[in-house]
Amino acid sequence: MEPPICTKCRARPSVYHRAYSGERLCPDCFRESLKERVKRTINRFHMFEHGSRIAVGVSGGKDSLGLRRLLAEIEEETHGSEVVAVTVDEGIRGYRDEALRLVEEACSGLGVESVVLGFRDLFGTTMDEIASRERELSTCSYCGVLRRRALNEAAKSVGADRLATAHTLDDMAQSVLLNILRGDIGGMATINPSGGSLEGFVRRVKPYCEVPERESALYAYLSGFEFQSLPCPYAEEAMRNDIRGFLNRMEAKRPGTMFVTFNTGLKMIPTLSKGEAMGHCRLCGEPTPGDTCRVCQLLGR
Amino acid sequence: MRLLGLLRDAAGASEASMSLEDGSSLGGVLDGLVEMFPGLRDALGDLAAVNPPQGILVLLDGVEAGNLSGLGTPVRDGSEVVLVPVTHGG
Repeated sequence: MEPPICTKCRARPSVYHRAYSGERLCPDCFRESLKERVKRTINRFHMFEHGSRIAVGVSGGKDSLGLRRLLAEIEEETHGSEVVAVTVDEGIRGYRDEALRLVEEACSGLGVESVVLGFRDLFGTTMDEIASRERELSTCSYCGVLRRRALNEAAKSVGADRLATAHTLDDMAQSVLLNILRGDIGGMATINPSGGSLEGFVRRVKPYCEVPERESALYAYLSGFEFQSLPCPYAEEAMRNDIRGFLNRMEAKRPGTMFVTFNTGLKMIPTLSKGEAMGHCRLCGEPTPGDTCRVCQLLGR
Repeated sequence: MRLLGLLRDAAGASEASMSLEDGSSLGGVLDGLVEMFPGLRDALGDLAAVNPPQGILVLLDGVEAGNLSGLGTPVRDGSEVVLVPVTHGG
């Protein structure tokens, strides 16, 4: 069965059908269109300025490796910002070791500056140790909070004024529904892809927020990235997995569902965000709206 | 057939081959793969419910299944099927 001709170049056979737009794309046009999408997202949400120093959170997964590559290309062509890879080592034997190797290979091959910051150095513990303890919350609850802090510290350590993470459209649409189903409407502010300017925080941006995860995977495959083979041994995001399955089924039946969900969430942000007054944690001094920050609470300091 | 990333781990193999009857479809190939490697069942999801599968990319001779006739696409002898995981690895 022969695939149709690419609807963009009208010359080469297509390899991918973008059901939500009707396009059928060859590998070159697909890669180019993804780059254009990310460029438009950067402009739509005013993410960078000329001469920004961008720390990209690179985990070794397909999304972050793809974002790092695309950002480096885009910034060379446009704002001229510097791109630095920052990686967090949570201390998960096996899983993170493989990921760190993938990051090192990807960055050294392109001469990209990169730094690794470990939970052990920052918090005096690792996820392996936290997972082995008796605790009330899931491992993902700990890891999420500590990773956010670690990425911020890593970005500060390289003098970055932006921290770019590779949250995909799927992540964003899932977060919108998660916030609604958990009744955490205030949490909707976290899907804001342009981040906010708060003292003590490097501004977090999400340039991949309009890239479906399927397209991120295809980009990684067409670019020859090595895929992580080990799952995180502590992954237990049951509710997010349910929502992912639901959204995937809806997207297959009604292409464009993820975009609609994400954009609906965006429209809710201005109505819902009240903006909490920030102070400083009395234990570690980091910015927090409360008396102590979430990191100190979780680590029982 | 080639399995990438987590799918390789789930199957315990990175490559496999199978003989096909005339008129075999891509869906039939995936069913055969799950029979061969039961560990793939969860990773591939409910193939009957979502076509093309959303949690993986199924590439037939380099073309994604959704660009053909999904899991109903006929598969020729000598074709290569590559499975790329989608839902893991940020």
